[in-house]
Amino acid sequence: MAANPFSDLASLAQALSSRQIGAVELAQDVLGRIDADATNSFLAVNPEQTIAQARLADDRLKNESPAAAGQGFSLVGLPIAHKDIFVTQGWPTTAASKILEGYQSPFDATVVEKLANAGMVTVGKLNCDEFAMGSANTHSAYGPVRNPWDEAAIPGGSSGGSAAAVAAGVVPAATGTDTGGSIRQPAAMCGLTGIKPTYGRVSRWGMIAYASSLDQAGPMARTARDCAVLLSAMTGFDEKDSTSLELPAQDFAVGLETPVDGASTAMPLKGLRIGLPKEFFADGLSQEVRAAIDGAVAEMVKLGAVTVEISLPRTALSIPAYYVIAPAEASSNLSRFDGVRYGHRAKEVKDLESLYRMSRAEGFGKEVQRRILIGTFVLSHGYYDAYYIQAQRVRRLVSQDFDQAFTQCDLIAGPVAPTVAWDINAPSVDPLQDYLADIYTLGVNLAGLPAMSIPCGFGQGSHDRRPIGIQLIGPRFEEQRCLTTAHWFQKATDWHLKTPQAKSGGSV
Amino acid sequence: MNLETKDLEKLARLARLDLSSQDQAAVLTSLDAVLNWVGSLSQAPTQDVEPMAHPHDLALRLRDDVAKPLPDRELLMQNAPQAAGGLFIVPRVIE
Repeated sequence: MAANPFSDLASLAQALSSRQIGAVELAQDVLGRIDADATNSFLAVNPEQTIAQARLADDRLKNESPAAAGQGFSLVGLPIAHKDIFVTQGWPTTAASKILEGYQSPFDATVVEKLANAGMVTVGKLNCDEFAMGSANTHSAYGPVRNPWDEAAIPGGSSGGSAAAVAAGVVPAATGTDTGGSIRQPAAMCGLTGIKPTYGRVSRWGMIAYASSLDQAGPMARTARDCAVLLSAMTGFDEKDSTSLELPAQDFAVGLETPVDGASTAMPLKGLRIGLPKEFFADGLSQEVRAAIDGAVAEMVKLGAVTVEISLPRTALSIPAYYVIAPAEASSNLSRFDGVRYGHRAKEVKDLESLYRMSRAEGFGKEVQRRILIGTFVLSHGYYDAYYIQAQRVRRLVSQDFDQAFTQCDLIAGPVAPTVAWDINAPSVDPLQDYLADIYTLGVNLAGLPAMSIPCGFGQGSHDRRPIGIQLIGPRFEEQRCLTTAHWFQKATDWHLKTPQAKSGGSV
Repeated sequence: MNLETKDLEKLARLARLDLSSQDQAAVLTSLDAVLNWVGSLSQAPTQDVEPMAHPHDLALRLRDDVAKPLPDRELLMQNAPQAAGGLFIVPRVIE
């Protein structure tokens, strides 16, 4: 039996445990679809190793009777692809950069290892913006990724390959990383569910660093339930990451169908106070996105939630603060690429200094070089206080705005991006244009909060094949509240069940 | 902020980037635009606000100073562009 390529993990797990399909068969299906993929989502496969992992999974499925509580299920035998930011043994890791072309990691990232230990089968590595710097996946050294819903559109970024591969039905789930919105924005633009957990929940060991105080990994899949199961397997204390939080492992799937405090299954969100930041609905938000968000909020109100107008007064300032802090950390992190220990090395050099400078100039793409230069500037003598320290002060104010807001509400809802996915061929001459589009996602990273994106509609007119996502932001450590709310929303709606294939056959 | 060519040259040197093969005027223009824009941060009133370097105001965890096994040297050096005898080869540093 060939599984439906648009099956979610939960139903594939069911098919595996009832022996309707085997892990090897499932992996072969996926490898076949990767071969035929037209979105340029994949950068590397290793069929031999994938099938070897699938065989082990089949053995485990024969010998283990997977125990799962609540909405949980076993991940044994389920395929997953990793963003090429996670280092992997057996698949080259490039961070979508020429400077790491052909790099073979001597170890696995903790996230990769944890998901493999849970029995998942790695099917390949996914395209992204170079070193995760971008919002459109147009900054990959290996070519842009196309949105499977509309090939004229970007898939979003930086986890664009992750989003496109799942949305196209190539693979049922993928990992992503989110430094300023890189899980949530492509999930929104490709009609998927994705969650960035609280900073420190998921180990950053083996995740190629962009901005270390902002980077977090998370899952991207079709449903909140799938994300809850994946996130449970990805989180946990890791002594190899000095910023990993010493929290006990949590199973986010167990409580998924528990209505919020004091509510009933008929009104599962009863009493949930959803904060709507007025700055997220101001000028700059496109009418079509606004309409979809309003519709989704109305649906949550039908399920019992109440809305509260809140204010995040430093929303606009979060953008320049981010674009000082992230490049500063990037310029420091990327200094390790020196053409000596690994990575690209320039041929015609006269001394060590020119070896560094030529190797880095040839190996890094333009956007990466721009961010390194910005970071170098804001950290340099004479500008450090005015730019870098000032950005860190604004960062605290942004974080305090969220703390203040969460005294009035339980969850914040709003758009993920001001528009639907833009045209892939739109000339991006002005980097500021792209930076400003990150307005609704950056504050979450500065504050270290959990946030997710769930599908809630499509654009209008010529954009009717461009998905829209609603963002749910929780207080620190309240991933469960985000996931439970998303799960109830998805039980009441069918936006997450739409597929590009079905959509080309008819209307919405 | 009015970034000049000599400022860009200094930054490129600090960042260990060679910009000679690039359109430096274009790099300068876009960098200047971004830096002017992030300069708007100076208008935010931040008196008495503690800088925030990290989402959790926690001290970094310490661990016992115990040696742990690492992948072996050959594996760690397999990606080196040029190596010999367990050493990384670089252009001559001392004449």
